[in-house]
Amino acid sequence: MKKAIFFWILLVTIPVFTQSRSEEKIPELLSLNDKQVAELKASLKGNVVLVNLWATWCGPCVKEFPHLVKLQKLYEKKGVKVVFISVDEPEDVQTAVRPFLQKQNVTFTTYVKNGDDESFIDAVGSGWRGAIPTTFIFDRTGEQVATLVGARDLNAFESAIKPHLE
Amino acid sequence: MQRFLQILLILTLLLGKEAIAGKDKPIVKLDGKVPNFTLKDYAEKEHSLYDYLKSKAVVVMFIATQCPVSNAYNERMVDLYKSYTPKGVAFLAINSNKQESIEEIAEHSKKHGFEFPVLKDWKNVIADKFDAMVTPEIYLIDSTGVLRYHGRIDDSRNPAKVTQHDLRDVLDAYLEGKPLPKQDAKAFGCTIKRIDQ
Repeated sequence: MKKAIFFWILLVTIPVFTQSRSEEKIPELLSLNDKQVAELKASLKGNVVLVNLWATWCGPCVKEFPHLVKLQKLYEKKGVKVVFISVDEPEDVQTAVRPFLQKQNVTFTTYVKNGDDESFIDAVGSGWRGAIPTTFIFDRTGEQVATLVGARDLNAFESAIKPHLE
Repeated sequence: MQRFLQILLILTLLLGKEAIAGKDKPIVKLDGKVPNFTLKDYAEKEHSLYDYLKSKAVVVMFIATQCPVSNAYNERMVDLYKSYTPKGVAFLAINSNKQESIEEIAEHSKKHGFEFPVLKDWKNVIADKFDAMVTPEIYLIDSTGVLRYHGRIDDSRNPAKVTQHDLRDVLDAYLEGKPLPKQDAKAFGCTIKRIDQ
């Protein structure tokens, strides 16, 4: 069932750019609207999930980003999933977001916000007002267990997820 | 005995932490009375919120010098000030970012032609009371000191893409004595860098 939902999301989300299948190093960048946020969260149940909201224009986000990439690599086998959602403007995706992802050696699927900001903010986190960077942490049951507002480092992210890894 | 002391120490730390958290709990809520505060601007002049309640309304704006979103609104904040000050609305900007100095705030204000006071909120005390999280973030307070609107200026940091002028619409309705079209509107922005981060 989880797989079915996951593949459904892959089908309904629109790839932001067409890219050659031979360019396997380029991570997939999918557009995500407010309605698809819940589906994405549901598809990731069973994992410890960190949903990070960021933008290329946000200095603290850029500083924090490599720590989350490293966390994903270190904890992938323990069922940890980092989900990056860029809130950059559509016109900045090709010129700023994709080059940044490549520079950061991101090899997994990431997302870029699509549609109305306010409904997207409400869909992502209850009580959240759109400040970035913010990282929401969900345990394996899909329950939101932490909200980290502001930039963090690898140690802080490790401390936040460790109680939920077992 | 040692175990007892350990528990006592843990309890003391926990209670202490709770006491500190409790002190800074947000106390500003929509349709609620906003408590007075006094802060100094970059020229060391004191400004008290309640001194501005003789105006028809006060727009409190949490802003930043380094945040690209806040900076994208510099001209729009100046325009709002110029449009609504003659109509009896007062404007107060607050900078609560720990890393942005008085000197930086002064230079930034002069560079962008801010005629409204920009107050320094040391240790983000007022941001905590308002529960302000992002820059820019707006609070519209009426002449009785009640919070009437909380949120964004408009719906895009790119002026060319704005479709909803939330703050202008709210101000116009308020000044005409009409029901406000909305009281809360969110937008993406930079986190306020607090002393505990």
